[in-house]
Amino acid sequence: MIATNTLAEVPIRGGNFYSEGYCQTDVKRGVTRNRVGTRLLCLTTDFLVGFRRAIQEETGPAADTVFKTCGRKWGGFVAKRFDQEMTEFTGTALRDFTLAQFQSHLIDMFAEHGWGKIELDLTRHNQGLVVIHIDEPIFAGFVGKSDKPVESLTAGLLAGLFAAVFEQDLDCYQTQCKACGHKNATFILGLTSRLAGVSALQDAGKSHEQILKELINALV
Amino acid sequence: MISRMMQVVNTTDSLYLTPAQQKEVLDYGRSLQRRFAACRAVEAVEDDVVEAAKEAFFEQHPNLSDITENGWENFENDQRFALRTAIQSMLLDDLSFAEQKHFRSLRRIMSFLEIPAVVQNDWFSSLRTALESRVKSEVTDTLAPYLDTFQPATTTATAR
Repeated sequence: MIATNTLAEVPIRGGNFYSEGYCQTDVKRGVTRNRVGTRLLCLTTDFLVGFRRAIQEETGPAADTVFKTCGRKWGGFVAKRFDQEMTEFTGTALRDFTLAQFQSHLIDMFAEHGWGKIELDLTRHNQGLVVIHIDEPIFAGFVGKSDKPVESLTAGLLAGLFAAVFEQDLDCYQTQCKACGHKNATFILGLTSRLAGVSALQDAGKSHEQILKELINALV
Repeated sequence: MISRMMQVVNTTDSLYLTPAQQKEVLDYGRSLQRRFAACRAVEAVEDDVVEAAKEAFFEQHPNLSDITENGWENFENDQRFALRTAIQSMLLDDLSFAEQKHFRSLRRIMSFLEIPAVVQNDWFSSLRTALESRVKSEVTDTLAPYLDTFQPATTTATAR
């Protein structure tokens, strides 16, 4: 059989979608797009500060709920885009990725978008819980000290994203926060019904480890 | 992709290029024929290299054939892609290109699959050894700095 394509003409799917060249800005039009054409925006700290304060002033005690709801909707859209972009780039549907590939691309997606350095702890996966650590999360860098977690937007993002990807009713709570003095932001992801009591545990002053223990013991 | 010319111009900070900077760009231009020759030489032996690397790797680590269940087909593809990424790195004269484009995420995926760092190194080494035995020394010399980016993993993969 005579080869109709040379090696130079046959592309191989792979590599890091988020590597150098991920973003391209058309300065004449004032538009930034990623390598498959999705439009991106850079949001500066002053915007995030103003956005956070405006939500807090307008919604008062409901601010965390508003942030989480926004995050959840955002996470659903991110999941859809993540799926489309990964499928287009790799030629493999996201649902057919190995967990290792999914984790790796997820880490790069978070890092490239400036949402922090994410790490998944799957050691309790068989108990229905995933612990997520994020270094340099969105808000903690400029919020200052706080007596309660401040990353409710990210908690919503994680819940919405994983719920859409794995097609499960998932929720996510932040249990450690840099603004509260912890090393990084820590979240617990699980079924919504499973995590229903987490908020009360947090109000009772339980630590991350205590909350995990309660959740695991509740299964027994 | 920022060309080598743009890299130099960006560092001049609105000044005219110095004679040394002009020489740097001209030297790179003169090296392109050698770089393209190396690229063609690797392209000609790519199938053999990937096949030999795979055999050598599994000879060294027969138990890792279980990786097949976790997507070895992708790994074999990745080995071909790793080779091409190193070549692109050489054409661009950018040592960080291959790491950013592929190696970093690939090592991370292998770590998640609980492949120890020493075995990851063997995966890359088998590819390099297979290549170096199939091309002329001048091609190897041209590629050497970029194949060096098949560096030993500096972090130890931990069992999960």
